[in-house]
Amino acid sequence: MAAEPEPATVEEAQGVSREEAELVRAAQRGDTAAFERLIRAYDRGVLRLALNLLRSVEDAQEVYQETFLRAYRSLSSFRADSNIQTWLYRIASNVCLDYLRKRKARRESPVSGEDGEGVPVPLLQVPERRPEADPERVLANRRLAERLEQALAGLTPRERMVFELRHYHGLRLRTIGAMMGASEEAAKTCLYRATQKLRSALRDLL
Amino acid sequence: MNCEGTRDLLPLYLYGELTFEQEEALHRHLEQCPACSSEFEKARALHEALDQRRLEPAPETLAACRRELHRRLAAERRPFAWRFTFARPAAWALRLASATALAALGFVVGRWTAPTVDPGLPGVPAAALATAIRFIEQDPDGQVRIGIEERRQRVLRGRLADPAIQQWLLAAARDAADPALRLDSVELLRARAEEQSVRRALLEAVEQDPNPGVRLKALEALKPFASDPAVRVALARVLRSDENPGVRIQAIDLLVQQRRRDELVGLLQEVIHREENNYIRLRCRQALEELNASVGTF
Ligand SMILES: [Zn+2]
Repeated sequence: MAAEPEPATVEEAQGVSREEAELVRAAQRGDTAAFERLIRAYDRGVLRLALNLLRSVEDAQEVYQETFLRAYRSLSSFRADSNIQTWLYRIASNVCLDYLRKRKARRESPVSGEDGEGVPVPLLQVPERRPEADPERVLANRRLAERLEQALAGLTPRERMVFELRHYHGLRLRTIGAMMGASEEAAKTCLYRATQKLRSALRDLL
Repeated sequence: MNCEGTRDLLPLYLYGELTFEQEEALHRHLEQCPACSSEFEKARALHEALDQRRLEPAPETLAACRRELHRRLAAERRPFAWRFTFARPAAWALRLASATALAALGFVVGRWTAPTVDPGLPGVPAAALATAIRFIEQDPDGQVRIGIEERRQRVLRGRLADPAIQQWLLAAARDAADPALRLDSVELLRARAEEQSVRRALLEAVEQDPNPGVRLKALEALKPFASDPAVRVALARVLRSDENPGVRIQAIDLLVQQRRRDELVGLLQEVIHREENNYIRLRCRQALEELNASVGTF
């Protein structure tokens, strides 16, 4: 691994491409078709973020609408030299945080992942261990999954968000910090706290 | 580095957020401390369990979201569109009400038969308010001409083996603007992947599709052909440069299935040093060990 800090993604390094800049200008003039084209590359990511955070397809769909309508309405405040993905994720994060806080206030437990119509993607397909082959493993996995949801529900909305962005979206802590109006160090501390909480909540299972 | 310091670094290590020096010190400590190694295994088990609970939005959900947003955006700009296209809506509506006026309006193409009437503006088809109106002119004799872009749906039916159906699927896999459509065509083409033209399209999708879900689907379709040289070249490129760790993981899993020493050692040694995903680094290390090769020097 190089000692020099590398940009996490191509987009982070490039800022806005020329084509995107043109779409932004057209969208700022009220061209909704240009706006829809502009967000095409990022809207699945926003939906995924909301789905994984809120574990409910309906809530995720609402977050999607709210995020992009807010984005459309505040396009005039988008600066040409900023990054469109970071900007959209920042709006999405705020909308999601509102949802998480509202939910916490209602003391409502999050919907379990199995209820959603979202498809769980087995990211780690290690062929040697196929869990479905062994019924005991299936049970153990289900138990672990339930406990994970409980443990995650125990995080603060902010910890949840940093964890989500780092673990499932591969964003670097530097970017996450910038997105949430905090330093890289603050994001790092937040992620660290989140993983420690998860570890201690699941200590007996691991 | 002591045990306490090591354990503090484990979670950040799993996220690739340590400096080069920190990572080296951690490796050195783990090699000679069984207690911390076992802690590391537990941290990694948690990390992987968290990976497993990841949800991927269904393509239909995304498509539904886009349709709904399209509708809401059209509503956002409606006041503007209205003022712009029809200067006097009331008068226009009145003229519409009379049959003779309707006949006088020379609609180039209409969608009047479409039953979709937007409740917000009675009498005017929703489609006309979106983006379908292309021009409005008045002829010297007073007739108004409104150009509306027509979109007609046609349904093609045939078996997967039907060359015409296959041509459409190949075109959709390459060019459809909606990733959900590309995903659907890749899914169907999977059954015909033994054909060269189909495999070429799948390889293109693997390397070029902007959507990671489509790339993953195409990789899956190529699974039975992991020994095909063209597929292996593409897999190596994906492992080197795909921005999505899930796609890279799929690529490395397929690549190391075949233990081709001459082909793999250099690639894995290269990847292990710049890969930020811990699972992939681990898989590289494992595969190199199985091939009796060193991790290499950097
Ligand atoms: Zn130790």
